Amino acid sequence: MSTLEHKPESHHLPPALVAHQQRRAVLFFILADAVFFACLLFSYFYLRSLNVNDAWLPDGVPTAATWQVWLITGVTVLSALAYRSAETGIRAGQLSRFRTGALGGLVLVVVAIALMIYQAMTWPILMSDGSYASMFIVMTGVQFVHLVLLLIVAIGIVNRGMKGLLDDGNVNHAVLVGYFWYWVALTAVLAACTTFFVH
Amino acid sequence: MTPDTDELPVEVLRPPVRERLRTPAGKIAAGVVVVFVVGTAVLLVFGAWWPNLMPTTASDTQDAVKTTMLVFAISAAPVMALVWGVAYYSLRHWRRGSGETPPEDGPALRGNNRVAIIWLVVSSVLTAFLLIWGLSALASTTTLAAGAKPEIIDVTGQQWVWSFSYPEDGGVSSATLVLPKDRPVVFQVTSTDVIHSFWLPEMGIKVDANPSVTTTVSTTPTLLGTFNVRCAELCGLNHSYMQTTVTVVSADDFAAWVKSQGGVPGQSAPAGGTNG
Amino acid sequence: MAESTIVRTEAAPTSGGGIMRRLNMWTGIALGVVLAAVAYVVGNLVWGGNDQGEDQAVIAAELGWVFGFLIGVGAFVAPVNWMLGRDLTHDDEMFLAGKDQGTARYFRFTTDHKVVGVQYLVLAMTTFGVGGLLAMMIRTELAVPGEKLFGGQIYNSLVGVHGIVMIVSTIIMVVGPWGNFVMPIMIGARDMAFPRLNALSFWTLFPAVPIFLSIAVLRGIPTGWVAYAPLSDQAPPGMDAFAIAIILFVISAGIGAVNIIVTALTMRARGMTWNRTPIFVIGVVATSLLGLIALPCFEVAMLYTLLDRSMAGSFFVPDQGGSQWLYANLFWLMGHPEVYVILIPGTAAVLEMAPVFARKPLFGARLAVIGIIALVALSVLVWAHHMFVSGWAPTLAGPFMLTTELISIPTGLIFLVLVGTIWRGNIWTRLPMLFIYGFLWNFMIGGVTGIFLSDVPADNELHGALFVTAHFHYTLLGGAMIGAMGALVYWFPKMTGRMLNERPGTVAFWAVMIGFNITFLAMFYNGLAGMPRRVADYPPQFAVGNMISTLGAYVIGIGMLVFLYAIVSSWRSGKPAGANPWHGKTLEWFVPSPPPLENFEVLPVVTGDPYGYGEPDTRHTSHTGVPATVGGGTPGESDEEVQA
Repeated sequence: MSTLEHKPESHHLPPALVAHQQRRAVLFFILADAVFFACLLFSYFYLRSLNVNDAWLPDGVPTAATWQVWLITGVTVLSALAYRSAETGIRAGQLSRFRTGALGGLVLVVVAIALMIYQAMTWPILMSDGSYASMFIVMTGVQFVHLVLLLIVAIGIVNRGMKGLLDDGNVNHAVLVGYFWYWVALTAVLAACTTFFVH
Repeated sequence: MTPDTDELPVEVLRPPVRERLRTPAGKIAAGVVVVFVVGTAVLLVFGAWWPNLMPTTASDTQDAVKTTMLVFAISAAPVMALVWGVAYYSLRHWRRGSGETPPEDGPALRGNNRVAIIWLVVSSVLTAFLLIWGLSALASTTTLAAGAKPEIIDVTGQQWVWSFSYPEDGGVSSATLVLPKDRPVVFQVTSTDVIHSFWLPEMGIKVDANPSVTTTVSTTPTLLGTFNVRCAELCGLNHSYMQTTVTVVSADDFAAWVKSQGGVPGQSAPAGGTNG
Repeated sequence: MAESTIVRTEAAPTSGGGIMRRLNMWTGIALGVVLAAVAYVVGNLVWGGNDQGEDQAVIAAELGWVFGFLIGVGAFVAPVNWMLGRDLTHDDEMFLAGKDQGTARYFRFTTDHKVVGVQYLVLAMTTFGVGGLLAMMIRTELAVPGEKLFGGQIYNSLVGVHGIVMIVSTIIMVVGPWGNFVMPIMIGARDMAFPRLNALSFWTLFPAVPIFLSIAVLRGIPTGWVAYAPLSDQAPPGMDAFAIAIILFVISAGIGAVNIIVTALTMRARGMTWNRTPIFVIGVVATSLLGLIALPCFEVAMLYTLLDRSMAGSFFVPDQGGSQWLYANLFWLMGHPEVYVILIPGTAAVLEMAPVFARKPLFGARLAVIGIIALVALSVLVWAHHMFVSGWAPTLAGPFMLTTELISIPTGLIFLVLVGTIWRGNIWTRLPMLFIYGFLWNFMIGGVTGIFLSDVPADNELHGALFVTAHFHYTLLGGAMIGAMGALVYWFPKMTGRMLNERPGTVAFWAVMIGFNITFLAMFYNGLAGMPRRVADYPPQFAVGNMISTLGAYVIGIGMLVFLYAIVSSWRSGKPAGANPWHGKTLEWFVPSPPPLENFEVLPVVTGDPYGYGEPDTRHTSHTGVPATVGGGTPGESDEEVQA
């Protein structure tokens, strides 16, 4: 029975297949997240179009600071660009470029999170101030969750890069992290664009 | 049947039906047809009868609904009879028992393009028919009859009572609904709290009562009598009891009722006089 | 030359070894309870003074339970180790797969897909039992007019919790046990693409069950399982528990769906083209894709509900600019695809079994695939037929009527395939075949009554009344669940190595079928006659129908208990089953029952589809590699007999 006791795990599947599977999986997860995000965008525009009881943006309710939104979005996009550089580096086997880029991206994510905390502490609206306020806050909150998750995987990939677990023959995890990173940046930009459609 | 022309020889001509029915394939076909016809007949009878289970017809809308139920049931009968009939016939004719080992393999029939095409075409035609029927019924039940000016009634649902007001009759308010026979009525429905659903089962109309929105539904009562008003959307603790009555009376009796409630038949209420 | 995707700079010691090996369901429960209690106490201290303080504290407690449980059961061990750059060793992976752990492996984070399948089966049966018990309570109250046993508040909660628990149960009922246990073997793989995610999907769902049950102590929910706003805003904290449980469920389902899709896409055996893939696999994959894209809408709706309740949000509060129609649209965007997520796996199981018990190829297999794909595609286009009477977008009534009626065409294709397979087959009337016939009867009624509801004027009369309730019980319970029961009987020997005792199984089948039809035909009657749904009390004219429905429900209950008895007694002491008791042709029948840890000694090569009954030249696989006697195999069964 000895041959049947040995359970081959992923290392018995060809690495190329495993990489392919992992990329598919991450893309499918992003698909589900995209549906979630699309529901948020749909809600924003639907509530805005309904303007029930004129309470989308009632009189006297301020809008949130647009510059903060775009600053945070900019930092997020920059972090994605930094990671893009890192990913290009590791594909070419340049470990130091990877480390710099990934670490830079990680730092920028931390900055973005800090800026979001500041934003939350200073925004002039509450969820009860109408449906615009609720949509703004929930979309910001979802972005915050995205950034926290991104922080976790960024720490992981930076650490793994430092430990030498990545090289030009083993880039898959870096690619996967990249997928998520670019996706977070994209949702940040899309969400920020709603600031053009407040009234 | 001696051919004296260039026709095909006798043995290649298709034998008469009676002979074909005696072949195994013929017997099967005949058996299925019998089951199908019997099944369809039973289901047709059922389908013709079942709209009687529905509440009394008290409006033109309900009449249209019951006719639709009838037509759809009749359309469904042969489909159901075919599927069930073939399944039943198969079980009767080809059942091979429940032994330990399976029976030998059956014929390797992987498909039949003709059957598939016929099936698809028939189901598409049937669907198209039901759709056209439905769209025309929808159009007729949502278009007010030309002619008589409709009676407009504001309906308000709140946990857990219905209240009605008659803005065109001097702003009369009432806890029960009174309607004039043979006159189209438009209900403008809203809620003060959660979603309710305004349902007149005997008149075949229903529309949700939403907070901060007014929805409309209309019909023309065609039967004198007292019928039900029910709530059809779970609205909390006493949803089961959110009911009242609708009474259909003659036009004269309706005018008398309005006057008795302090209203003026046909006079619009002053602005802000109705609840909304 | 490293075969793995990771280059190890040194032989890393077993990293999660220590803590990973000590964590299990019990440590999860313990940590979950502790964190829940702490969160609740702290929450009350911090927010006790707020209007929404109670909701906030309850939400904090539920989240504490969830995170505590997940940490305690070891769900985060692998991700944390990944972050730290420590990857699992072979020993770790063997341990995680449950090697040599006996029954303890079922109570741990175990990655073997067969263990996960059994875990899902037990969870599905448990949730179904809870939902069934609630159904018995509902029917008992409704047996006679008057609120005799349960007053309105409790009754409404019974209805709502019955609904949601049954929805969860029927969604996982086929895909959970058989999508996990059977599907990888059926495609000739040793496990799923992501064994750890597999375990995670189960253990993410597990904590949701106590949360659903906690609704009872949190004063219930008044809304029914659809949780409509604004009534959901008024609700006691049970509504918060409901929302969090749903969010958990959606996450679990999403993880499971990705796993199934990627597994089927990438791990089919050599030679298994899509044309040679069993219909069950296709059905399960289509379902997973549908669930993946539809269920997030429910998450969003629940998130908004939680925010409205705990932070005075404005999503569904009209005075604050919110709209109940936002909720309704989000909900039904999920809600309609969701019923196909329930239906398709049960249907696919029935389609998979029909050739085996008619000893004939699947008739028009391509049509079945087209039918399933068309069902999936159309199901995302019909959602507003649940909103015909809501007053939202009356101009869209026509288009939604069109799309809804169109769905009858692919559904009809399924019937054609099923009946065409049975026609002229040599019908082997073993217990699974009974369930196929049961499905045919019930699902036909369910489908046809759906067409009535798709007609807008008819729906205006029938919506919100028991006709709708009877319709969806016929499709979901009578169709999907009967299919699920058949699937259980069919694959029970493979999972347990024993045959399900067909005597009590047959008794159960008839009790359930007869009871079911009595209950819900009487319910159609009452629905047509004008009785609303979700009511605790009713006028006397509906009394006879209700009494009949209740008696029928008790018969269903008895049937289910008999079925449970059959399952439990057969699992313990049923007749040993060989590798292929049904003489089927799909790959799972060519491994022992139950299969060894890695399923196949040698991975099979597929040379044809698995429906070659009556075709001596069609072989699903030319090479199975199963030795003559390997644990559970019938002695003397030769390779030749077990080949396809």
